[in-house]
Amino acid sequence: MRLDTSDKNVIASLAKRGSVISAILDCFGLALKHCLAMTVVRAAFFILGIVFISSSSVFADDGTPSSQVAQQPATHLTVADPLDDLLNAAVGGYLDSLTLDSFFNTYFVKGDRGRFRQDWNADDRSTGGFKRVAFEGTKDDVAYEFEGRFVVDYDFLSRLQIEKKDDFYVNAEWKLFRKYWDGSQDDPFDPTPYTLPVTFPWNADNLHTDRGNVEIEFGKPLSENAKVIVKYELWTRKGREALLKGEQANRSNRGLNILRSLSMRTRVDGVSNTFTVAVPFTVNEIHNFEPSISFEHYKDSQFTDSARYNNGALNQRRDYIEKPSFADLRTQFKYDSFLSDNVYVHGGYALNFLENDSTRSEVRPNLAAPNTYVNPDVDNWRLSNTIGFGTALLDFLRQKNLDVRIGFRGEHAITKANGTLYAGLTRRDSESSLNEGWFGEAVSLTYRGIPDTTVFAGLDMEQRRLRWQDEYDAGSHESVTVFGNAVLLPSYKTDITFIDIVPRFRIAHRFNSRLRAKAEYKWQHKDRQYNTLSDSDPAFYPGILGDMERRVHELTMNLDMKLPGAWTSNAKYQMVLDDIDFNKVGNNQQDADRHRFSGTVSGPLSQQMFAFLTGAYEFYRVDTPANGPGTNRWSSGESDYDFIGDYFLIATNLNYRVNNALSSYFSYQATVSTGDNRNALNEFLLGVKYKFSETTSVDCRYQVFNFRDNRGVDGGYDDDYYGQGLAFAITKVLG
Amino acid sequence: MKLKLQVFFSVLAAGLLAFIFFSFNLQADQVVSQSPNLKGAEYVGMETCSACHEQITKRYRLESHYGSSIAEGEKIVGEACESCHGPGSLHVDGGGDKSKIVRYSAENCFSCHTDKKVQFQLQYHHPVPEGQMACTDCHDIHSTGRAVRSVTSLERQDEKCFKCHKEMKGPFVFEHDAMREGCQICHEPHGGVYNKLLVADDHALCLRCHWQSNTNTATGNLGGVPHGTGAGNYYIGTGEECVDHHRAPHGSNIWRTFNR
Repeated sequence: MRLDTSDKNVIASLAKRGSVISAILDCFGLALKHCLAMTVVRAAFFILGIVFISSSSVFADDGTPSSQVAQQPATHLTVADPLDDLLNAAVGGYLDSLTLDSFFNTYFVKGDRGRFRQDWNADDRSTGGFKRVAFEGTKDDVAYEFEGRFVVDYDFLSRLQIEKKDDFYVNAEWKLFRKYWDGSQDDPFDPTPYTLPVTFPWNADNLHTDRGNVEIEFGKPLSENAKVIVKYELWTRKGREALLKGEQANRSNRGLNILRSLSMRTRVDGVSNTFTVAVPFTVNEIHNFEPSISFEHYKDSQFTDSARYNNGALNQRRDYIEKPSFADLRTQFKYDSFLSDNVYVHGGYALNFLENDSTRSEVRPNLAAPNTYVNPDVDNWRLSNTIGFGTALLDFLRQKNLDVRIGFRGEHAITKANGTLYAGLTRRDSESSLNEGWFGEAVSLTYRGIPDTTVFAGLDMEQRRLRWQDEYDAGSHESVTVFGNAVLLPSYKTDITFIDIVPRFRIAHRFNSRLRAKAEYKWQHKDRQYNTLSDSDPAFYPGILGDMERRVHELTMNLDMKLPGAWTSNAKYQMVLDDIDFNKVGNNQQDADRHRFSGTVSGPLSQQMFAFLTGAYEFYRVDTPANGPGTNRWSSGESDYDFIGDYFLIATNLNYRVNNALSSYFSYQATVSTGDNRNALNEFLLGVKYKFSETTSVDCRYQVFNFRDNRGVDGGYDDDYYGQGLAFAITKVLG
Repeated sequence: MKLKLQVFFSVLAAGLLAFIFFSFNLQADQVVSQSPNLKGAEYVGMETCSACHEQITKRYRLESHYGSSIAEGEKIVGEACESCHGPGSLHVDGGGDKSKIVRYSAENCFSCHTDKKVQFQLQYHHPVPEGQMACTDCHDIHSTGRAVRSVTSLERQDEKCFKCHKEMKGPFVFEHDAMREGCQICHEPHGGVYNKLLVADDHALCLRCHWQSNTNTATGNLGGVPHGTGAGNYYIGTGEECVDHHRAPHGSNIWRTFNR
């Protein structure tokens, strides 16, 4: 394909008018026009050519060591190839480089397809497209750079940067991707207690939400020392997702009726628009100021239906219609400066007004206690004023490599909220107010005077005072009827004082070029003191914690070691001991202990073979203060109500280079939860890569995987799945 | 069948491990290039970077990554900027050619933060390995403060999360005080083996704090509301969760108890 003279003139004239984007688009348009004019054979050749023009990122996880993958910028190879001529003719003169990654991928899955999609973040069908499209170029002092991804169902990215040096710039990004959900929400669904028919329309497979973002930022100098930045952000989410777990089957006939619903799914359709304007400017070359203002408006439309069953029969329906919404206005003024080579100062002020205007209805249309609860209006707002300032004193007290940092933050926030609820025709009101004073201080010392060593000591402190007041009409809640509560207008008022002290110490040392070590210790002491001023019904307020202390000891050790034979390794250990004490009932009421070991080893097994191994083991126990009656066992941890979250992971990759053209790779990963959610996922992958030339290669891989949930529910309703995957890609880089 | 599969996988994994470790010192002199596509590039030092990137290099000493370095063989070759961005000579010679320098990628971050890479390989994770999110969506790599937030940041600590998880932003008529402790009190953002990135399953998560004075009695009270086995109680049976009823744990405009 060749551009004729008229085509070139069109492009040139567009570019001359400064319409660079139009020029690029028209360029592709002209290419398309020529494609359509081709014979079938030539068209087929062109399409094949496009498929062949791809680069290597599609198989970035093919076993190539991460350090290599990370350091592979787009290459500009100039090996002669007929396809180079083809592309050069199409876009020649405008692009310095062009990279296209094409691929095709398919999965065959048996079992819980919803769980597969959630775990793999992929559909269990065929997909393909361009994993990466990238080009860059310069025209009339305007540099442009594009990166994109176009994958059928459903992953799109388009990022464009245009910059004219010492003049304007535009950054534009659009992305759209799909998030998958498993309908049973991590638990295998056991239909037995529901007494539901085997043919019940469980309908849990095809849950997904499509997320989208658009960001456009434009910057232009106003003078030598000032510029204006205008930014627009769009956020969208649409689809159907699993919300919270539903009420699962009650297997014993105690207490309330056995009215249980399935895991709830919600239709969501949300959009948020944010506009930001900032005008950074510099005074006297060193004082940097940045005033900015942003406004965000968010609204959503959500529908959740919940059906409750009793012995296999529909007993209740509950439909939730919600429209979350808020408007957020934020003005900010930031300053920073190097007053001298060794003195850095910064400060800022922010005013934030956040208004929530959500509405909600709950409809109980049938059977027992039909009613409709409508929350037509809330008027919630928070106004906060925040200041922050600090300094960094480098080479403090003329001690070379001794740095001191001091920072302060203060915030005052008032929150007022009230909502109206109609239970049938009866109006019920609720209101609350929160008055917060919030201060934070940070001090740290960093010393790098010892060769190859960094020593750090820091102290973070926060103090908060929260006056909390709420009042509501208990008639809105079914608890009034169930428990016969006598207080119909409960109110509560308390002052909560938060005092946090967090010291941390860190030392990092490079012993030599082969060994580097780092250790960090952090201690958190968080104190909460409740001073209850009034409580109309102390026995009827769930959730009020009372005085508590939280102490967290956190130790992290990291070792990077180069081993003989170009092998590298990394080992990390992290220990977190998280204790919460409630003074009313003594100490050590809650312990959460976590020990996490992780490590990697990589290097050449032979001249042709490279290996990469990752492993991790986590020992994780949560001991809650709730030890209930033996027959009332809420969880399956070490004892009632406790939780075991242990898991281990092994991942290995092997790359074998047969010759300069042919290589193969193999990877295996096992992720095994040995705690309460007992399951195991095993994945094998085998691939072959063949390089036709320096710029063209083909890649094929085959995958087998198997997921087993071992929590005792088998059959058609468990979370188990297994399957195979095939992928094919052709790689070429042009530039 | 399950047992056989597990045994098979375990034996295979053990075999692979043994193969790798016993092969450890084979071909000890072979060196694998760490940056094949920057072949010929040399480290130039931060002073050179300063010529064009003065605003960034000037603040580098204030960054948490300050002092990082990498080694090749016996030499420490890359410090400061080049410890992440690779050797910069070709980039400099190319007049700032962006294709001649290592730029952001999650894999680049993972090459040091290996434990985070492991977390992102777990079943529940934000879609960073898939390229749908970037480390930089939450972490400001060139920040002069702490990478995410320090106690002196102007923004509240959860603002990064609210950029996407908007309906949790509130304010609500009835707020959950735990939100003031930060999202991470309940969620592990990088990855985990629990649904919705929770740090524990639903019961244990809530009961970490909601002990309540009467919990241990036969009536199983929580905050005065009986959750025990007596008639009329809100009994919590096997497999049920607190959020089955308290379905608005981030805050509610209607009920103090976060029921929906």
